[in-house]
Amino acid sequence: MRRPWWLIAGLLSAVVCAVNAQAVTPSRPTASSERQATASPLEQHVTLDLKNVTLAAALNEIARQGHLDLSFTDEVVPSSRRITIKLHDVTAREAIERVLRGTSVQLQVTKSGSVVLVKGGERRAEATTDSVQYGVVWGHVADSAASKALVGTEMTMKGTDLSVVTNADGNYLFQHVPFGVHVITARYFGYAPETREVAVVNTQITKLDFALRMGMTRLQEIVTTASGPRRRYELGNDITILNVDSIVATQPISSVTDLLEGRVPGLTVQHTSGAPGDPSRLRLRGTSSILRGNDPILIVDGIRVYYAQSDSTSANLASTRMGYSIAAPSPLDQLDPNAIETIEVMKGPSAATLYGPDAANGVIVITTKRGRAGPARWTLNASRGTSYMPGNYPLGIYRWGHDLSGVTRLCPLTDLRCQADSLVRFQALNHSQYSPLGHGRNTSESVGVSGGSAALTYAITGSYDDETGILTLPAIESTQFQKDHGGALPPDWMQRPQQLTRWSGTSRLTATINDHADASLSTTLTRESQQRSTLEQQIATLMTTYIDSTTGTYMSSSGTWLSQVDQPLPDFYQRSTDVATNFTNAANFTWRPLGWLTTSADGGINVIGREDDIVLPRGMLTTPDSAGRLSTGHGSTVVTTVNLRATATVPLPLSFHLQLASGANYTKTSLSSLTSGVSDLAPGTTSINGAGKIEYSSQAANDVTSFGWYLEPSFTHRRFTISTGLRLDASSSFGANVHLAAFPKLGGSWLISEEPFFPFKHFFDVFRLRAAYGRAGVWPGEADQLRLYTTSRPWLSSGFQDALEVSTIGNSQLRPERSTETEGGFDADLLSDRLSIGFSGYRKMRYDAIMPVPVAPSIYGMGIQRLQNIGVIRNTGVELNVTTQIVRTAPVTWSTTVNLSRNHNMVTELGAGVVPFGPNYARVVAGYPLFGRWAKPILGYADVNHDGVIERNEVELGDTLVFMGSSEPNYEANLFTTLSLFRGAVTASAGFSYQNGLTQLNQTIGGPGRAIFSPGTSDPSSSFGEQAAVAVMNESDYGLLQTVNTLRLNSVSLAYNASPSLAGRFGAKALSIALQGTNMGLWTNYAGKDPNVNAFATGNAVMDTGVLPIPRLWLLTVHATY
Amino acid sequence: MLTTFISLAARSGTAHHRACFATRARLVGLLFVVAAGGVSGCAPDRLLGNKSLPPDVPDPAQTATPAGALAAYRGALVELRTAVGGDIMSFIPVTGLLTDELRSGELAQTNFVDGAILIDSRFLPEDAGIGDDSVTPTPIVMVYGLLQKVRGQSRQARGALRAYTPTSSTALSGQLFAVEGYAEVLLSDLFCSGVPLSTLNFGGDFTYQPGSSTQEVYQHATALFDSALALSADSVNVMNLARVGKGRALLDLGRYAEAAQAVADVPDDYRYTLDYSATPSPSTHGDLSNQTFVTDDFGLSSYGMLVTMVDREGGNGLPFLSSGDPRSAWGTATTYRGSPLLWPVAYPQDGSGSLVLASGVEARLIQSEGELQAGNAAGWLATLNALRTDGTFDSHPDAADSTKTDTLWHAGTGGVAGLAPLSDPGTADGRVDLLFQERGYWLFLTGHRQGDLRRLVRVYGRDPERVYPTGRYPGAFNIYGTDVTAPIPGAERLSNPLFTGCRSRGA
Repeated sequence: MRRPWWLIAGLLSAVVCAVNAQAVTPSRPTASSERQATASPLEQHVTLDLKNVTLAAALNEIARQGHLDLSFTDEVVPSSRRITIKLHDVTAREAIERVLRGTSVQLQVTKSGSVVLVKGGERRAEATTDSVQYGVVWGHVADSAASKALVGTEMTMKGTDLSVVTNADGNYLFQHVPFGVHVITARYFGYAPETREVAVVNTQITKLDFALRMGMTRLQEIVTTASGPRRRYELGNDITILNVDSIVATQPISSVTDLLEGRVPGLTVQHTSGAPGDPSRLRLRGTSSILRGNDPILIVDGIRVYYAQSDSTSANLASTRMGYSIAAPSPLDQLDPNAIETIEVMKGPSAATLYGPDAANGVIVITTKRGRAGPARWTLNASRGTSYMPGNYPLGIYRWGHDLSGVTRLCPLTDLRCQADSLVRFQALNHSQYSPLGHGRNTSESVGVSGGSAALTYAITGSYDDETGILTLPAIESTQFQKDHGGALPPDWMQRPQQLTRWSGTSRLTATINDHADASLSTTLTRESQQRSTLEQQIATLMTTYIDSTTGTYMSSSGTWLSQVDQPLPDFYQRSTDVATNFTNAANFTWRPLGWLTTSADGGINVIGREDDIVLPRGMLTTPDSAGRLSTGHGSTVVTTVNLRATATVPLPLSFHLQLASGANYTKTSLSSLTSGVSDLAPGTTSINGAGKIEYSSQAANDVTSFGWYLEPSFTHRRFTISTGLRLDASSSFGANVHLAAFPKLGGSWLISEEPFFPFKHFFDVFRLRAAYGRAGVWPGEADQLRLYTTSRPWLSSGFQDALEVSTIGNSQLRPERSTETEGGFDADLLSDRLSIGFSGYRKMRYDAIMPVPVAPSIYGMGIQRLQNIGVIRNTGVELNVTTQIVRTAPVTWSTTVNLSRNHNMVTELGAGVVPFGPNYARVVAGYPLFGRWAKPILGYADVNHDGVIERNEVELGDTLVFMGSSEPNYEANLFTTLSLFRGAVTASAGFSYQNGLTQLNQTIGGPGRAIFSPGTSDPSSSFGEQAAVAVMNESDYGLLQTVNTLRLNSVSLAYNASPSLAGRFGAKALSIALQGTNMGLWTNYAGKDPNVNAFATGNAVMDTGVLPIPRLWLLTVHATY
Repeated sequence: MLTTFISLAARSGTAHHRACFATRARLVGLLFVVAAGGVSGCAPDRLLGNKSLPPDVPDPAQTATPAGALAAYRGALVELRTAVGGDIMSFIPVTGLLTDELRSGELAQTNFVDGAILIDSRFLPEDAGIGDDSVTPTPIVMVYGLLQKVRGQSRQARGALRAYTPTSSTALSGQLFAVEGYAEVLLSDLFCSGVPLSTLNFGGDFTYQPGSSTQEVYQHATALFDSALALSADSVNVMNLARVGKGRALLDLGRYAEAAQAVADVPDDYRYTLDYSATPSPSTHGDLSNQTFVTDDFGLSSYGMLVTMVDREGGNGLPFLSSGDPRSAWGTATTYRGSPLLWPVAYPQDGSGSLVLASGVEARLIQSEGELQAGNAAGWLATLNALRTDGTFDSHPDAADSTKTDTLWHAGTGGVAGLAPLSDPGTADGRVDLLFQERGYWLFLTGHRQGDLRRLVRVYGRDPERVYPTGRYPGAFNIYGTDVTAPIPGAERLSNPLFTGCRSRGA
C-alpha cells in the first residue's frame, strides 16, 4: 500500500510541473541587467557559432553575450525550432533579427532597456485594418507591508476585455494594449483593490507595479494549519481564532481554559471543581470515543504538548486514601495566557486531518507572542482579587419528633411510630462559624517585553500567580485541634488548605536570516504547585450535619437517621500536593529558496515533570494511623515532535493555481511514573525519608511513537479554492505490527460575493460559502492487539509452580478509530463590517469505535472480551457566531458577540452481539447519547393504605433502565458585549453563558445522605411524587435526576483607560485599570448548588459531586504599556 | 544542497535559461518534496523505533519459551481442577444438585438468584430471549464457562508445547488431549444437545462452531482420547487417564464392548486425582469445602451455593444417608441461618484433599457394564463384588499433606469394610439398577452421577421421571421440574453467530 501512494504523489507532481513548463513566465529583470540595458540597449556586439540549436537557445546566447534582459514566451516565439547560425561581431539587435528571420516576431525595447519579443505580424495586420497601434504593459504586484509577491492577483483593464492574473513571481503581462490611457485594477482577496492609470503611447513596454494594502475582513486572518500558514478564506472548514492579547487586556482571564470557555462555538467546558488549579474537561463537538480519550490535542508553536485530560495522569499520581480521585492541574492551564498571541481551535477531523494521531477530537493550536521590530515595549499586568462562594447551599429538612419511649429523633414521613414535633430547615454551610467556606485571595503579576531589530525580534513574558482557595478551617475545628494536640495550632496548610502557585516564563526569538530564511526559538517554562486537603470533602459531610447551637451537639445524617458525632468535620488531616514543571522548547526554521517554494521544519520537546504527594502527618490522628503515612507519585511525560513541511505554489493554465504541500510528522510520547507508599513517618517529617514501613512501590512506563506523512494539493481559481489532502499514519500503538492508516480530506471555499454575478453586493461586504470533509484517527491502546497472558503460581500436587493462562485474547485486526466529519457553512460580513455572521453545520461520525465485545464462552470461558472496531457514534450539530458593532461612533462603540451551538450525540451502532453497558450514569446504548444517564423508572405510586405517605411498597419501580438524558448539554449559547464610552476612556463588558439539556444528578449529597434534602423524606406538604422519588432513592435516581437549564453571568468588567497624557505621567504609553468579576450570577432550575461541576478527574463520566463549585471572584487589575 | 543549486542556477544566465531552470527546478523540487515524504512514509518501522509494552502488561514474547509452554500446560491442569471441583459453582456441586447427590441447603430461601434451588428442582428453562442469561442460573453459566476454558487452555498449551518444546516428551501434549477430552465429556454430560466446540487457535484468532449433538461431542471426546493415547506411550499415568476417559465416552455412546476394551489395561489401583490444598484458597475444592457445607457467611452470597447431602431425593434418589453405606458417610453441621447441613465426611471441610477424576474402580465398573451388556451376568456380579469385598478400606496418605489421609474410596486394591457381597437381582432391569447404584456409591460426588442418569434415560430408555428426582419439591417451587440437562448459557447465543440454541433438551 505504501508504494502506490508514493507513485501517485510523484506522478501528480510530475504532471503539475509538466503543465507548469508550458506556462507563460516573464522574468523579472535583475538590477544588473537593467543597468546594462539602459546604457546601450541592443548595441552590444555578439558573436555566434551555433549548430542545430533551438531558437530559444540561440536567443538566450545572444542575451547572455549582450547582457540583455530578454523576455519572450513560447506562444510568441517558436522556441523549439532548430537553427544553425554563424555571426561575427554583430550587434545584439542584428543578431536577434537574424535569428528570428522568417518569423513574425518583432523586437521591442522598454524604457528600462528590457527587450521583449512580441508578435509582429498580427499587430501589423490589425494595424492595417483599423490603424490601431498596440503596446505592452507589465508589472509586479506585491503586499505593501511584507513586499511579498501576490500570486494570482486578478488584473483587469477597464474598457477592454483584457484580464490576466499574476504568475508565481507576482508578475503580470498585458499584450495588445491599444495606445491610450488605460485604467488597470488589481484585486486580491484580503487586500483593498488598487486602481492605477497607465499611458501606452508607443510600442515599447510600459511597466506598472502595484503594492496592495491588506484589508480588514476576518477571513484574511492567517491560520496555522498542519501544512503551514494559510488564509482563513482558503479553508473549507471553520476555525475559531482567538486574538488573546485583546481578551486578556479586557477580561478576567487566569488560564487558557478561561480564554476558551464561551468563546469557541461547539466547545463544552466541564469543570472538575472550583478548587484553585483544578482542571476542566474540554469537548469539541461532542463526545465520540467510548474507550479512548475524547480530549483534543494541544500544539504550542508547532510542538505537540501532552494534554490527555481524561487519562489517569490527570489525577494526583500518588495513590489516594482520601476516598476520591484528586484532580491534578491541567497542562493546558500551565500555559501563561499573557504570553499567548493566538489560539486557534480546530474542532474536528474536517480541520484536523493533517495533524495526525488522535486529532479526531480536535486540535488547539497555541502560538506564543512574537516580537515586533522596534524599541523595547514593556507591558505590565497586575491584579489582586478575592473569591468566595456566592449564594446559599440548599437547606436540609429535618423533621424532629420523639418515639414511643420519648427519645428525641428524626421522624421521616414513613416512620409512623414516630411522633413529629417540628420541621426545621438547616444548613451548616450557610453559618460562618461552622462553614469552611471563607474568602480566597488571588494575586497575579505579569511582565512582558518585546522588540528587536529587523534581523532579530524577541518577546519575553514572565508571570506569577498565587491563589488561595476559599476553604478555611473553621475556628471551632481549630480550637478542637489545639485541644487534641497540646495547644499546638493547626499548621498553615490545614488552616488554608487550597493553594496554587504558578511561575511561568515564556520567550520567543525570531531571526530573519536573509530574504529567504528565518528562524524562531520559543521556550515556555512553568512551575506550578497545587495543594489541597481532605477538608474539601468535608463540605459534603457538613452539608448533612445538623448542629444544635443550644447544646453544641453535632448530628450527622445518614439517610433518615442522625447520629451524634464529636466533631462536625471528621477528617481534614490529609494533604495533597501536586507539583508540576512544564517545559516546552520549540524551534522553527523556514526557508524560501524560491519564490514558489517554502520549506519549514519544527522540532521541539515538551517535558512535564510531576511530584505528587498525599500525606497524613504523624500524630494527626489518635487512630492506628497516628504514625502517619505518605503516598508519593513521581512521573514524567516527554513528547518529542519533529515536523517537516514544504509548500510549492505553481500557476496552472486557465487561471488555476496549485499549492502543493507535503510534510512529515514524528511524535514520540513517553510516560513514566513511580509510585510508592510508606507509613510510620519519622517524627516531624512528611517525607519518605526515615519512614518505618514501605507499604508498596510500583512503576510504569509507556512509549508511543507515531509517524505520519501527508500531501495536500490545493487548487485555487480566482475566488474558489479546493483543498485536498491525504495523511498516512503509522504508530507503535499496536505494539506489534505497523500499519499505515490513510486519512483523506477535501475542502472547498468560494468567495461568492466577489463573483460578478453575485446580486447582493450592496448588502454583503463578504459572503463566503465553505464545505469540508476530513477524516482523522484515534489509535488503540498499545497492547490492545496482542494476546496477553496472566501468570500465577498455584499449588499443584508437586508444589507451587508457575502457570500461565490467557487473559486477553487480543485482536490482531484492530484498527484505529476513524472519525469523519462533514461540515458546511458560510461567513458573511454585512453593513460595512458592522455585522459578521459565521454559520456551520456538521456531521461527525466515529466509525470503528473500539468497543469490548463479549466472546462466546465456547472459545475460552465466560467473561472474555475482545476489542473490536464496531461502534458508530454520531455527533451532529450547528454553530452560529454573530458579531455586531451596533454603535460605531468616535465617542461610543458597542459591540456584541453571540455564539450558539447545538450538538446531538448518539450511539448509532454497537455492533452485533454487544449489549448496552456502563453504569447508570454513563451508559452506552445504541440509539441514545453516549454516556447518557439511565434509571429504573417509577411506573406508578399510590397511597394504598391511605396514610397520606408514599412508602416503598406503594411505588412500582420498573425493572428496565430508561433513558433520562444526556450528560452533555444539547444547546449552549454565549454572549459577550462591550460598551466603550468617552472615546474609549471607559469600557464596560459582560459575558453570559446559557446551557440547556444537561441531565445532572446532585451527587453532592449522594446515597442516603441526600434524603435530608428531599422534601419527600420529611415534609408532610411534599407531593406524592416527591415521596415516591425518595422511597426508591436507593434503587433508582429516577425521581432525582434533572435536565438542567442554566444561565450564568460569567464575567463583568468595568475599565478605565487613561488618556495618553495621563498615562504619560506614570511614564507609560498606555494605562488602564479595571474592576472585573467572574461567576457573577447563576439562574438555574437545578436543585443542587451548581450543575457545571464534574466529579471525576479522569474518565469520561460526568457527575456533580458539588464538593466545591466555582466560586465568585472579584479582581482589580492594572494594565500598562511602556 | 540540491535545491540550493537549483536556486543559484536559476538566478544566473539569460531569461530563457532562467525560465528553463525555473521550470526544471519546480519539477525537481516538487518531486523532491513528494519523494522525501514518500520515502519517509515508506519506512515508518525504522522511524517508530522499538515498541515496548507498559511494565504492567506481561510481554507475551516472554511466554514464547519452553518455560512458558510448561506454564501453559500447568494452566490447563489448574483450570480442569477448578472446573471439576475447585469452585463453589463447579461441575460436581452443580451436577450433584441436579441429580440425587445433593440438595439445596436453604430450601426456604425464596431468592433463588444463586440458582441452587433452580438446579436442584430441575427447573432450567433455556433462555430464548436476547441471551443475557437472566434465566439461566449463575452456577450453570459458571460451569459451562469453566469447562470451555479448560478446552481453550488445553489447546493453547498444546500449541505452546508444540512450538517451544518440540523435542520433549509428547506425553504432556497427550495429557492435554485427555484433559480436553474430559472437559468435553463433562460438557456433554451436563448440558443439552448442541454444545458448540469452538476453538481458540494458538497464535491466531478463534473459530466459532455450531452446536454439536450429544453424540457428536462424545465422539469428538473419544477422538481426543485416541490422540492422547497416541502421544502418551512414555507415561503410564497419562495413558491410563486417556483409557478411562475413552471408556467413559464410549460408555456414553453405548459402545460397551469398546469401552470395556479401552479400560482393560487400567490397573485396579490406578487413580488420577485432582489435588486440592487448604491454602491458598484457589487450590481448594470450593464446592465441598466448609464454605458450602458448614456455616460460612458467603455460602449464601450472590455467587455461592449452599448444598447438603440428601437421602432418596425426589423418590428416585439413592439412600445416600439412610443406607449407611460408608462410601457416602456424612456428618452434620448448621448454616449461619440455622438450617441443618449434612456434609460428606469423605471431603475435608478445609477444602483440601483430592477428587478422583479417573480410577481403576471406574475402569472395573465400565468393564462390569460391558459384561452385563454382553450377557455375562456372572462376570458382571463378580466384578462388582470384587470391588466391594476384596480387601479392606485403603486409606492413602494425602498427597498434599502427609499428616492427613486421602479420604476418597480406593477400591480395587482392597475394598471397603462393611460392604457385603451383592446378590444378582435376576432381572435385566434389576441388574441395571444395581449396576448404577454401585456406580452411584463408588463414584459418589466425583462428577459421574449426571452422566449415569442421562445414560439411563438416553441409552437404557428409562423414563426420566423414574430416574431423576421428581414429585413434590420441598423448596420454592413445591414441585420438581422436568429438565434432565442444563441449558447452554445465553452468552453463547449472544456472541456465537453459529449457535442457535439447544438442539434437544432431552437426555
